[in-house]
Amino acid sequence: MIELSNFLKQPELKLRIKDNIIVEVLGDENIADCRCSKLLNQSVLDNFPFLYDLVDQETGRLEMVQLRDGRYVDVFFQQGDSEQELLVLLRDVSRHALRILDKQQLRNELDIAKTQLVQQQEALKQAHQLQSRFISSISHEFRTPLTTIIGHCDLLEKQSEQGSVSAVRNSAFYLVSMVNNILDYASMSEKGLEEGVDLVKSTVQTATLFEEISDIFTYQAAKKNLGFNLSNQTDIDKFITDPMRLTQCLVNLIGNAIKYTEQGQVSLTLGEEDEHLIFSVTDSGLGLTAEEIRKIFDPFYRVKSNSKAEYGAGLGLTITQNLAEKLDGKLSVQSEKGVGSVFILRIPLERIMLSEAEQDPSAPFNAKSLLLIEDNSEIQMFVEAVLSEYDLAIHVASSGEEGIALATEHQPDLAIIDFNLPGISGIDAAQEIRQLSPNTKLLGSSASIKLGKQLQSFPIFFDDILSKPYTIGDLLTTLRKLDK
Amino acid sequence: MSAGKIEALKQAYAKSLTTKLATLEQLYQHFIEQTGDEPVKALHVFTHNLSGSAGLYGYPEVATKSKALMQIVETSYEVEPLPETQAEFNRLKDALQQAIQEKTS
Repeated sequence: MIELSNFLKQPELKLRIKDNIIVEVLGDENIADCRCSKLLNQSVLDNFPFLYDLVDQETGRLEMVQLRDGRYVDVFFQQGDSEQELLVLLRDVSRHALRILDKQQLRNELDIAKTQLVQQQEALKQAHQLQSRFISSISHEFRTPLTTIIGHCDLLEKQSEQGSVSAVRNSAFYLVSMVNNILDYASMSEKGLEEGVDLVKSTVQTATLFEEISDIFTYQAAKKNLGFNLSNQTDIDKFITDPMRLTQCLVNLIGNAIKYTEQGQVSLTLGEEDEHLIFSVTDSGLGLTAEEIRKIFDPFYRVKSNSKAEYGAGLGLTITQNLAEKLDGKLSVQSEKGVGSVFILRIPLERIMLSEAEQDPSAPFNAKSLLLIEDNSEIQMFVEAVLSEYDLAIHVASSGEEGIALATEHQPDLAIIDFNLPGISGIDAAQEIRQLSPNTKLLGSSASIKLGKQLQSFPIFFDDILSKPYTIGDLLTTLRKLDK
Repeated sequence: MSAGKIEALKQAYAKSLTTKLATLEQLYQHFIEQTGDEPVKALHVFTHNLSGSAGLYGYPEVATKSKALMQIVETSYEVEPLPETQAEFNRLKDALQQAIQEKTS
């Protein structure tokens, strides 16, 4: 008896089959030498030993076997009348098979496309990160020399022809602000708004902020014969925010306003509403269409104009909107084509809460003792004279070594330490005192802006830093903060 | 402590401004004419002290200008004096002269 399982393991077994399809495959002349190896497609033959497993045992059907000529057949096996006979019936299912195969192929192709898409997405993400890093690194390269140029322009401006130096300075400033925007955009793209932007909050003096803005833009506006007005319509003289980020926002908004205004004026007004500061930058420039307003905050979008104003990276408003959000605020715009625009930056008003003692200079200190380490006798005598007004035991040292000895002996509540001391430096003395008198609040005093800023980031050395030159008012305010 | 002591200190400081101006001119001359770190250090320490004390005693202009000169002098440890050093020196000198005039008038 021919077992189907045996038959389907012998591709070279001679078959006595006369079927139209087989005749078509082999040709009449070869029908005598009919074997599976001659009938079947090579890919089927490759899997020949496993064919039996694919036969439906109930119906004896083997589905979609591909023949040598490419056609697909369903093969039905049945035991013949005699035990030596195995009936085989072929049914051409090519059309049906092709449809199924097409679907299968489509599915496979879709899977491949999906995989490729994921890979491409990953590659794109990596490329984007690389691009961001590249932009970031090249922008840093730009910023350093530009900052030097600006610094030297500041010096030159005081002693030479103001106009030309101001022009150089303003151009360099413009480049720096553009580079800063690109850097921020790269950082936000790579790390997101949350991690891409760090806020460093401190007190902002409204008058100083306006002065700074005026310094930056008065010349630029005058060059275009534009009026430039700044107006504080509040009685807020100081508040807390990130001064650098706020200035960056205002510089972007006012810079744009001047850029796109050919006549008339640009103004900055500060208002207050519902415990929010409202900075409004108004211009009498091109104005925006509804379509332009919709796109204006998109990265790299620039409003088309007939003037030469289309320079810039097209990132200023994107960055400003993101920064506004980071400052828990909002940036909005109102505009009318041909009339002008108002960009409104709204940020929460963080007031400076002064304690009673901070408001009253004659209020007593909680501290009972203070150590002053200062080698400049004029400063030493004056600070001592002023502080002796209060009920404080004052210990004065002229060197770090002397200061350490006094701190060990008296364990003072407060200490003022000059950085620049003969012998051991103020920073080293502070470290020693931290160990020997851990409850002493340390106020460092430095004439070096750079060093002061660096140390502000390291509270391990000092609890606060006071930059020289300082007034007695500055000193008392800072000491009050430490006198908790 | 008394307001009198602070006033006395302020007066003594005002009187010392003339000496400070002379010292500044002398140190600056050394700084320009002599080589090595010593004249740089002397001028640096002087402007550092002047900047700190002038702020406290109520001469903000002198303090600011002195700090500006100090910062430029600071760079002279590493490089040749920058061309703007002279201008900063002149500005500090003017501020000191102005402060002296205001006190005497």
